[in-house]
Amino acid sequence: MAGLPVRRHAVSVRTQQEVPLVELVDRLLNRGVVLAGQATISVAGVELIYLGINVVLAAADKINSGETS
Amino acid sequence: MTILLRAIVGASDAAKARGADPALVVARAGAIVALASHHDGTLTAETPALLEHHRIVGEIFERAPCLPARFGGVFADVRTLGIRLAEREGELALALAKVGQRCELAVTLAWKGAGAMVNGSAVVPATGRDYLERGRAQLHALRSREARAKAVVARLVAELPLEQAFTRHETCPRPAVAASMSLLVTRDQIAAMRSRIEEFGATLPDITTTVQGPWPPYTFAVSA
Amino acid sequence: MTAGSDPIELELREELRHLQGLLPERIDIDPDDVERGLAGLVLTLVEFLRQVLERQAIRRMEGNTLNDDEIERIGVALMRLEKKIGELAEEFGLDPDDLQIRLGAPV
Repeated sequence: MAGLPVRRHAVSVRTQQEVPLVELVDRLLNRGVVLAGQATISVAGVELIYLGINVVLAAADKINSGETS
Repeated sequence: MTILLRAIVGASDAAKARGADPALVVARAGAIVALASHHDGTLTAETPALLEHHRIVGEIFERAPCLPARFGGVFADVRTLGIRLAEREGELALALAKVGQRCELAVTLAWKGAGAMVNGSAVVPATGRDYLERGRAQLHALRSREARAKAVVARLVAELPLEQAFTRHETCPRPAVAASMSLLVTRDQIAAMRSRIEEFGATLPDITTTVQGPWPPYTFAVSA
Repeated sequence: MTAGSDPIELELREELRHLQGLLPERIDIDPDDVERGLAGLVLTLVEFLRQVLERQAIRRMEGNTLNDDEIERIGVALMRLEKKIGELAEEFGLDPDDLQIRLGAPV
């Protein structure tokens, strides 16, 4: 399971020169096949909390609009 | 020792793809295989590790059509990877067929003079109302940048000889960037696509265009 | 409530979608620095909510559904909150940019 601590990489742009690198890093971190599941917060390799904020927001969105998933 | 997923290739391409790196291990599930590297368990998403991932995925991609894995896909062992792979075999085989031999071009439309971009007054707000007014000015500036970015992207996409299904984009993903686009192209389309984009970019007074690639198709590895 | 029945709610949903992009997709906590990691998580969420509230206040101000007193009070509250978040970030050694926080004048 993808639960080992992976230090978060801040994908922020400080200079214009960094934009190309940020584009690549964005793809490496946010695109591509994921086999092992959703966002988790893990401490010392132990998954403690499932944080699906985006899922929660999307679900709230759907509930409010009366759609079903 | 755990393993880090690099990419997925067709089963018939497994032997070829393994040539990318002698240390790669393989998990099979029917028509597809997953290629992974050993690592010692202290994985950090810092630039050297990311670039190494990109390098290995690139080597695999040079040898066979593949679906790049997102960085950070850690598995206990080959057996576990195989189980996860089997759960998605049909979907992934389909995705691999769709992507096929194509590669990704990354187009960045960046605001010129982003460092000097002023969203509103540089003065610290004195009253609560001033604060909200500043927020409003920033919001309006943001909205007009978004509108401009959307319009430019729409024009560019219309000009490119590429089906919509092979294009993805995000407008205003970061402060300095008007739009980030991904194009899934065949190798023989690369040169023509690049020059069309650069010609288009030269006409824009407020935006610079940069094309990167060909890269493995990260953005198109899974359906939207 | 069905989609399209309330323009204000539609706009809110649109903004939530937009602001969702600010939240990191993965949040990982260094076991050697749990306090800082959790602080970063909390502050990111608080800043996210603050921005949602600010956008709502701006909309109400533009729609003239807030009186002068309310505008002033809400503005001060949000301004103080933004300042406090920045201070807390610094205390924990966090880069405010990572929390998408505006600090005074924009760059």
